[in-house]
Amino acid sequence: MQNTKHYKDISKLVLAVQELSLARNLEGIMAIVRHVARSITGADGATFVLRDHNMCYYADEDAISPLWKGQRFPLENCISGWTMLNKESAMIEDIYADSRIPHEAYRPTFVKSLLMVPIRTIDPIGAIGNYWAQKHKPTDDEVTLLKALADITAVSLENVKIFHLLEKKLEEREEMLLHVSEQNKKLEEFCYIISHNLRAPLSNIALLGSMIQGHESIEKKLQYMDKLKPITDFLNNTFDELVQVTQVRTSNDLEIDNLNLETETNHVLHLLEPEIRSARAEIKTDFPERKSLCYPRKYLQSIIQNLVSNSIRFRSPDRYPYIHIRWFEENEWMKLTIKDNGLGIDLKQHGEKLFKLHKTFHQHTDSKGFGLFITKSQVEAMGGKIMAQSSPNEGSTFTVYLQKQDYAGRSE
Amino acid sequence: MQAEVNKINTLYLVDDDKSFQFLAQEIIEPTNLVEEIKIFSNGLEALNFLKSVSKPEELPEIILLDINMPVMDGWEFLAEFMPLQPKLGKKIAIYIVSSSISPADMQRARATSLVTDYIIKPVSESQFIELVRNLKSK
Repeated sequence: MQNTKHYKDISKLVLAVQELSLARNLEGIMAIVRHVARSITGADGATFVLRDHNMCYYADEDAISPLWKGQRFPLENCISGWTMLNKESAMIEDIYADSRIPHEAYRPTFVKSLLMVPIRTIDPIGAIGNYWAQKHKPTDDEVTLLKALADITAVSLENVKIFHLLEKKLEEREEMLLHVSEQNKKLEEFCYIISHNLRAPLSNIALLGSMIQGHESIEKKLQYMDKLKPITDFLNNTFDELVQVTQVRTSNDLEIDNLNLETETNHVLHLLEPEIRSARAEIKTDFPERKSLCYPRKYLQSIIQNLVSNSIRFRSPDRYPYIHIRWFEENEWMKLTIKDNGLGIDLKQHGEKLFKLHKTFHQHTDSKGFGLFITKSQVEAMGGKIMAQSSPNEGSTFTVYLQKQDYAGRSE
Repeated sequence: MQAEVNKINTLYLVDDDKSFQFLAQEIIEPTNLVEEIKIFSNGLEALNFLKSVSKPEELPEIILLDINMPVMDGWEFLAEFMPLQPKLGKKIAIYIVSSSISPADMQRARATSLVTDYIIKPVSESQFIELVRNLKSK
């Protein structure tokens, strides 16, 4: 008879082990343990107590009537605390005869006898309690079973902790991997474009070289030599711009300057004066009340200069350029819009290529397609974004969202 | 090969690189293998001209097509050319001639049945001549 009961209890424990091995969080573990703890000993109640610094937290329970679920008691005033501090189980047949028991806390409950075992004997992290409504002396078997359950619980809690740690690590790793592969893709694209942009003029030079060598006629040789100059000029400009591009991409520790938007904008317009005048461009500027912005000066000037000079370069032959430069604050952004009445771009056809390297949409000899790429890089390097709206023959509006940088405490 | 007498009537060169346009002409013309070279600076110019040709014999035998071009690039040209081709009544060999060494571009070219071959610049003088000769002997 005794053996059958013992066998049944062991079976319950084995089942609990299987269930616990699948638990993935604390709640799952507690739900299993409180139930099994009560049923393997046939007690009237079971509690699941966690150590929370110097307090015992009654995290969960399964009992005929409420015990202390959700409450916290100091380690020193509580039998579960005693168990954890002394790293041994407490077996109490008559709780009101035991000085370790805070009798006040027990009076509202049904409890007459209890058995409390620590979870993880070395440095306990919690305890499992069993309670009886009738005076009961816990048997050796009951103690052994509950201790076994506590040990398994300790392992399960440890597993859950490791599981979550691994899960978090894995997530971080995946995020990192995604980031790296994105960077890699960008870099690859960048390399192909560089190689393309340098290859094209270089291969022309190589071809010209062999033709100069291969031809007997002096006139031909001279004619070919004349062709070298524009190619090398182009190569030179391309190279300069590529250097600029790589500089944007690598400047992680940029100096942030405390800038006045009006001063900087006017400075750029002053630099562009010859182009503005020769195109007979009219320029209107608007500034917000608060004109200060913390941003790398070099970038801000380059952003304005690129966009304004684009507006001038891609002007319509049918009308004089009118360019509206408007700065304004919107939520956390300092926004810049540059609106022109120029040629415009068919965004349906070219939209996705607009900010990429070496994609030009107008047949201009001096347009190498780097400008907007550089601008985008300079905006994004500081956490901003840039957008374009345009319709062919009506004009374009570029909107730049700049993040207001913290001047003093620049975040790393 | 020298015995071949039939010439290539028309060759289209579609490339925005003015220097390359000049060089290609300088190399191909003296070979006397091609009757006429027509030059276009982007896909759209070439496409519009193709559409305007009424007789199949006036169509080119060969198109040398760059990929990266403004207005309409090589891929966009091929996409537009695809539905046009069966109506033309003439087989046109398209060679992509580009300085792009991107495997993506090469793969894309290989996957397009319209493209005969992908040639990476720089193209040497002899390569150029070989290319035109080969086509002629086919």
